[in-house]
Amino acid sequence: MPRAPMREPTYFILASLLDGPLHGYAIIRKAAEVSAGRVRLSAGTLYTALDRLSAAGLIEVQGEEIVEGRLRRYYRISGAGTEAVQEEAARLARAAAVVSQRGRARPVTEGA
Amino acid sequence: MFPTLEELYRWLMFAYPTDYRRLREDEIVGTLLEAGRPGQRVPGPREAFGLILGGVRTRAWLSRTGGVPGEWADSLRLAAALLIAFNAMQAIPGFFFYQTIRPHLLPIGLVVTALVLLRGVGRWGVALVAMDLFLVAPSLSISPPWQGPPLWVATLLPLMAAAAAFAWSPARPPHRAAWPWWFAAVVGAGPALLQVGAFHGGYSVPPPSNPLLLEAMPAAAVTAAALMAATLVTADPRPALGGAIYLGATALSIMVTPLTWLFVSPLAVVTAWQGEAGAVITLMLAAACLGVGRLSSRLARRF
Repeated sequence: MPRAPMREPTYFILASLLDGPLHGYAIIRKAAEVSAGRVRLSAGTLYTALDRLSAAGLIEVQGEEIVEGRLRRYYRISGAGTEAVQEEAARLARAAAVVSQRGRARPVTEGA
Repeated sequence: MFPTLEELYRWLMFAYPTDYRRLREDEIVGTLLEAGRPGQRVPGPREAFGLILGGVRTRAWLSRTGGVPGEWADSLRLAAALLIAFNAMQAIPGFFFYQTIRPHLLPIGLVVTALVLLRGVGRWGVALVAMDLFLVAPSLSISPPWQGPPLWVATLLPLMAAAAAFAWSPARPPHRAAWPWWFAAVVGAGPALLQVGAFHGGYSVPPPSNPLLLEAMPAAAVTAAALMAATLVTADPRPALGGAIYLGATALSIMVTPLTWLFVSPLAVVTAWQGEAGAVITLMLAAACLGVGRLSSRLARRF
């Protein structure tokens, strides 16, 4: 059975983790970067999403460290998470192709 | 001395359950401090709102178990909690204005009702619900002269069904993290109780058999709105689904009860028509709750 479409913040959180493990603040920055500023995660939203993704086995905690007296916990994407985000990317690409291919085949002419 | 930014963030973290804070507070506060602007002294509104909403949703999410069947089981118990709270509170105006409840039973009945709503699950829950019915139901059984046995039965049967549903518990302990659920029960029952207090007659019978039934509709609408709002805020379908069961059962009760009136007094045919109009409105409110609850349930399964 195909998965339900992913929410946009979840998609960009998983996409952020494709390059390697990140801690909370780094995920917020990376998600903003890869979404070209579209996704601005608040800490409340981020950790709600991380909890649910962890519970579903799509991400895992890799380790933690103390930096300047602050706890940082690092998250990495799991095999199931990589599969899920790639599946979503393919779904979005198929949906985009429906429009872009037709746009090329029949260019819109003004006054037609 | 003004608290530091870190202290203010830690205060906002009280929106989250205690066990969760123990595990995650240092990490979340660390992230918030890293994300802060240089020289920032108070949390920004966006972060503050995000933390409060995140806390409420985390509490709701952690209290959910058992997938869809668990969701409906909890919703059924929420509907029962609404009915029990409603009937207990209804005894108050009956006591103060019409002396339809025995004086020594009211305070005991209210305390037991509060215990039932707070802890009324599992083995002790059954005993508490039984006591609650014994204490509060007599207020319903002292009927005005025009009221005969059929209404008495029609009133008590739904209460007994609610008590049975409420006392039944899935194989898990009562969870303190389910506070949005109880909050919804109180918020949902409150307006209805106030409306009952505004009636000028018929305090000893619940709205389904009240001649001024249509006056109860704004309260039913407020109840439905409060439960749907609770679902939207907490992203938890249970308040709205509980409201759908509660209002659906109420509509059914309204449809059936006026028919019993016809056996009591032929004059009741007028109020029977009022009753059917009230049933349609209540059914529409139940349908709205069901729609919001099912949508929330589907969304809760999306990542």
